[in-house]
Amino acid sequence: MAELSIIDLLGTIIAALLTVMVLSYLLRDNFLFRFAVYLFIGAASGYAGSIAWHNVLKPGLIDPFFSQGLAGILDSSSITTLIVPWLLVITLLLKISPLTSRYGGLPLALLVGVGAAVVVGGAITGTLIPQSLASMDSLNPSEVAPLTGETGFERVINVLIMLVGTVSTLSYFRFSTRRAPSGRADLSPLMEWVSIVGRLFIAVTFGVMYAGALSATIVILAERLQFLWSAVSSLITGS
Amino acid sequence: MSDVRCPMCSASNPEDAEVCASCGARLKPLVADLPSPEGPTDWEEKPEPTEGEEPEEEDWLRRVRAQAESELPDEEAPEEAPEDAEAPDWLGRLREVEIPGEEGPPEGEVPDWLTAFAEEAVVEGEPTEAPEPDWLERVRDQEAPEAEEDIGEAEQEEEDWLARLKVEEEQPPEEVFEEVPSLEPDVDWPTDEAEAKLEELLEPEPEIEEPELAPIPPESLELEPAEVPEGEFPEAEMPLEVEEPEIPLAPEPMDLELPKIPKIERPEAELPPEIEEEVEPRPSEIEEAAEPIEEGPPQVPALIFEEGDEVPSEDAPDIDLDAIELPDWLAELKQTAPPEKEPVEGVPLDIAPATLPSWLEAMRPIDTFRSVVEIEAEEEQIVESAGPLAGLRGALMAEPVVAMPRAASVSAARLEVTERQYAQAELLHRMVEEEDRELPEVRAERARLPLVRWVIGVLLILAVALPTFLSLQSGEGFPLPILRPRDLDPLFDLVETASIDQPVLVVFDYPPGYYGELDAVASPLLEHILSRGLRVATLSTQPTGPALAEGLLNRLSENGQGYIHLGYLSGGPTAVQLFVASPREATPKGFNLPEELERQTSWQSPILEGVSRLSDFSMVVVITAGPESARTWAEQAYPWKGDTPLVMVLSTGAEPLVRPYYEALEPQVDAILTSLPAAVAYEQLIGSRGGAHARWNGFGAGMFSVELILFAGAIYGVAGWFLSMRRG
Repeated sequence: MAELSIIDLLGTIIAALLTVMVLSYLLRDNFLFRFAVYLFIGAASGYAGSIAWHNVLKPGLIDPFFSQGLAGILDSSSITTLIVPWLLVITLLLKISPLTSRYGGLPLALLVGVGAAVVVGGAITGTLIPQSLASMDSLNPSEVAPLTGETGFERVINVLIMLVGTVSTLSYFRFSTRRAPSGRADLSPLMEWVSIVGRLFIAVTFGVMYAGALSATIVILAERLQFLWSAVSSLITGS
Repeated sequence: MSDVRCPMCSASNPEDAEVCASCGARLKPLVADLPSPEGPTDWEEKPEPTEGEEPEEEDWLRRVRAQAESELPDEEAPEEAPEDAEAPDWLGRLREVEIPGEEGPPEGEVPDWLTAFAEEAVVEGEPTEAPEPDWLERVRDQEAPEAEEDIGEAEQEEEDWLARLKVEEEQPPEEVFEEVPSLEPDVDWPTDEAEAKLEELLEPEPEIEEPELAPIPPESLELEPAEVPEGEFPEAEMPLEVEEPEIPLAPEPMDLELPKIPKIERPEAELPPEIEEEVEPRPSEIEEAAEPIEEGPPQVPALIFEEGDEVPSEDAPDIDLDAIELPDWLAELKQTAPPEKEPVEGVPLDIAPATLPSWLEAMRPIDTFRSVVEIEAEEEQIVESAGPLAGLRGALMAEPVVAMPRAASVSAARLEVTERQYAQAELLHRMVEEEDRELPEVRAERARLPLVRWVIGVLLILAVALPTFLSLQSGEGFPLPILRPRDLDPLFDLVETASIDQPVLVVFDYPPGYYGELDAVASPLLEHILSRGLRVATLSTQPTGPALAEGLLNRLSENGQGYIHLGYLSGGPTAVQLFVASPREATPKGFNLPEELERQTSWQSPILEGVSRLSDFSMVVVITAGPESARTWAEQAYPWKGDTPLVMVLSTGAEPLVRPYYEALEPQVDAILTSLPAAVAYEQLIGSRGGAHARWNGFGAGMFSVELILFAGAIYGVAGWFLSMRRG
């Protein structure tokens, strides 16, 4: 326990020093701040590499290769779970050299293609269609929101705000228009006003997001200052 | 004479003709019809002078002549023409220059050579009846009555100023020039030499077309009016011809027997610098012409032949003496000039030395007729190397003239430029200019202390840290929230109703930087889950997620039991989709497994017993700091989760973008827990005082200071805007 306590004590001291070094950016950009940032980047990268090795590469590629033996590797069932992953990894490593980089196009195309398909498919089925349907909510005051319990005019007002905000925001991003005989391509006055309303909704949204980020930052600052206070108290009192 | 001569071509026209039949020039001015109190101004319209009439002439010259004639017994006294007499314009202007009341021409305006003429006339005493032109006779006829009355007085005046001139004449020439500086060098030379000089002046005149070298009879000074047209008015500049370098070269074509040119002693010190410059290019010529004269200023070449001079043949010279507009005073002087060349000693000069009047000097068209092309020095001129002019220097170069860039004589097809093309051309022009424009050197601004940043930072730190330093407990500083958020009850109910036989999947998808916030927000939920005895399986799409999960659950759970880490899920959305479809294949190995699961996988843990799909979990809790991760889980897990509720524990900044998934009629997110107030309310709900309560006072003080800073900034901005508006 005593040895662990020393490690915990050293860890607390180092964490406090790094915290102060990061907060020193308040004065200006300085060596202590950059040192702390580089240390965090290095530690995070090393830790991520270690996690990738222990959680992904070793159990997915190395362990099956050695555990199954040569017979297991040549087995037909290992083709999709062992041979193909190995081939993809090797060809992807060929991207390191410019001479052989073109051979790494296949795994890269596979990654991009599969990833795009997953993202686009999930966006359509999970966001676009459900959110479009949600924006076309019923204006019936008797309806009740299933989770929030809103009903009556409160719900109707919320639905109207949602509807106006959605339409006006989408109208703001409408950049095509019909060219007038004079050659000018201006939006109609109605669309101009709708775009202005959409811009207002966007501004309010970004403002709320900024306020949320500021709130989160205050909480984080409070946690860090409490940590420093507790660390100093521990060093002073020895407890 | 009833005809009217054209002032332009000298053609005879009927008296009533208004335009010349030959050249079309207007004979009668447009204002001729207006009656003038002083009589007609056009001398050509005046009636033909009768005999006895004298042409009008300059007063002082007339007086000179009158004085000269007065000494002759038979000579008729000269008449003084009135100022308003009809006379040619140039003579009228000559009269205007005359100073009223002056006895003669201003001192210095009569050259010495004219004085010599007068002196000779006195010495010889020969009454010369020079033939006068008709117009002069007409003028004299008109002026005769008036002139006769004043003739006596005029003679007296002339005698006075001529006497002064004589006195000056006796002085050295240098003194005279000092007293009367003039552009025209005064000449004092013998009469015969002066005549020769005058003839030389006449000869090189380029405007003389038809040389008529008939000698002028000394007994007649009368000239035909037609011989003194207006166009020959510049002849009054003859004395200035002394300065022209071409004068000495002119006598050659005249082929006249000219008297020996006296040497001229040129008073260089008396000449203005501009005249010196004009004379200097050919100093040898001047010296050559001035050789015979030992003393005195440069001489004016003779304009009138002397008696007995050989008349040049008609075909040889280029000069027409008849065409020369010779003022009658010069002609009269010539007639009165004696043939002897030597001046008579002891005879006083009766004529004052004169120079070119200033008004006449101003009329010299020197600059007007100066050649635009500067003639190079001879040594600098190019020698022609080809063609018939080969070897000649100074020939005009044909090639430079041809190759000289100039505007096309034939207008090219005009480029039709539309307004749009012009605008584009202007834009291109500005772009090119912008490329050429050198950016001004930016001065390195002196590093300014970030005082505002320091003030805000210190204020925030003090506000957040002050409750901690004061060891304020939650609720002692800022009041705890009384009302629970509306989203909290559904979440609480979900945890309360979750099946205890199925584990809860908790996804830690936030970076370590958000540990301070999300740890406090997620702690009451995880504490509630653990307090109900629900088993927990953790997962993360971030490499650092498993460590964060271990730290939080290790702190919340009793003895580190009841949870297991599935580890890091690499691959982003694709991995999430793989996990929700087949959890066991996506995470084959766990993280920080307990000792009993060494060399085994996390799926062999009793916590995950019976779990093979996402819907096998009793609840899926996603703790995330960004909307992207939340949206990925909402999109990918929704089709696979079945009845398993999806709960989002969000950072405050990500809530606005995730809430639409929660408030939809068919919600993809079943519950949301976000922000520290909600966490405090959740702790209050479950009866706990965890990390959310510990940070409540600091959070409240910090937000209050932020509000104050924002308010102060808004006031500052509005005040600045208002002041700028007032300043205009």
